[in-house]
Amino acid sequence: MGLSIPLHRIGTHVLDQIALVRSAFAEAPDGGPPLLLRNAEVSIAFATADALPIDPAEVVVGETPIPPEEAQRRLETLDRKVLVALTDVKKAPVDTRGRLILRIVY
Amino acid sequence: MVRISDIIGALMRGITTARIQSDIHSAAAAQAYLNDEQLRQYPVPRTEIRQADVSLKVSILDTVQKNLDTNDVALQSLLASVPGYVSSILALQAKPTQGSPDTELKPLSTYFGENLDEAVNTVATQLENYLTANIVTVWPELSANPSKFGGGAWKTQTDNALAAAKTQYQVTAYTSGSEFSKAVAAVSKDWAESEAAAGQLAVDLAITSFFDLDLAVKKDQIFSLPSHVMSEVKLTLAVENYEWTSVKDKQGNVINKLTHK
Repeated sequence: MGLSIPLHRIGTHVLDQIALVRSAFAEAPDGGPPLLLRNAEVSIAFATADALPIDPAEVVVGETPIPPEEAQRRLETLDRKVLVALTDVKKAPVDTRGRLILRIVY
Repeated sequence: MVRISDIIGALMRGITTARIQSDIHSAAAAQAYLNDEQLRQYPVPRTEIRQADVSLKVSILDTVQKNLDTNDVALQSLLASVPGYVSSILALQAKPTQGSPDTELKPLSTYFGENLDEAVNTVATQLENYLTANIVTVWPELSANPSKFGGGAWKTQTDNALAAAKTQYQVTAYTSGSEFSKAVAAVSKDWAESEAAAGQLAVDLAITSFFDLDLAVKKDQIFSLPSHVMSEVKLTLAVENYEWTSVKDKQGNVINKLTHK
């Protein structure tokens, strides 16, 4: 079994990973970035760690894309622990499975 | 291990590389058009990427715990609670001498007078040094049996730190009796029980914060997986275009400059 992780930590991890890439990309000759990440939508499949049903199954952070700071704020309330490793999600009962969807604009 | 940042970084590098290759090909085509009598009559074809929408299905193979020193996490939690603990100990009632009546009981802190703040620091520092030097054995003992640790090793350390402070500030209040000792034991047990829970919470939080997601992205890894286990990364990327322009500087010299298109 994989780690049992609160949903907000999964979301924060995604935001951190995107921030890492954005900071790693070199700047263009005139100081602006040559390639801009405008929007990111990341959907993570999960199963509840306590094996209890989750409703609604889709946890959406940003019906329309929102800035990362706002996404971070909305994530704070999502403290349900989940499993995201393939083997855990694969064998989980259907009503315990869900999806975290983050829509971010930069 | 393949992380989300690896995937997004690779996609962004791929778009940049595609743009560069397109420009190189366009440059070669422009030269060919220039050299050909007939082609010269036609516009040079050029592909320009202004925006790209990319989408990639992935699966999370596993959650990988990063290296985490749980003892150190617990130590930080314990150290934060020491000053409050010392204040609780110094608030215990003590007599001036062994033979004093109970009516003369007053908080131990009052015996330190103007040296109280320094005395609190002295006791706290001694306890903090003990925790820091012995956390490898302290945390397992404390978390496994807080009551035993609180009434045993922790009380002993508290007694020693208190005795050292009394000597240093020449405080003669009577703290050797069984009543005072029982009171110290009660406070030290309470501290151990609450800090075992707080320390464990800090460790649990740290564990859920220090992880990586190991992704599967290759066809043979995800081809046969059901849709409900699939995750997805969708990106909208905008390519900033630049072009060389020739301008004159203040001295009238022609210089080439990259400008945003």
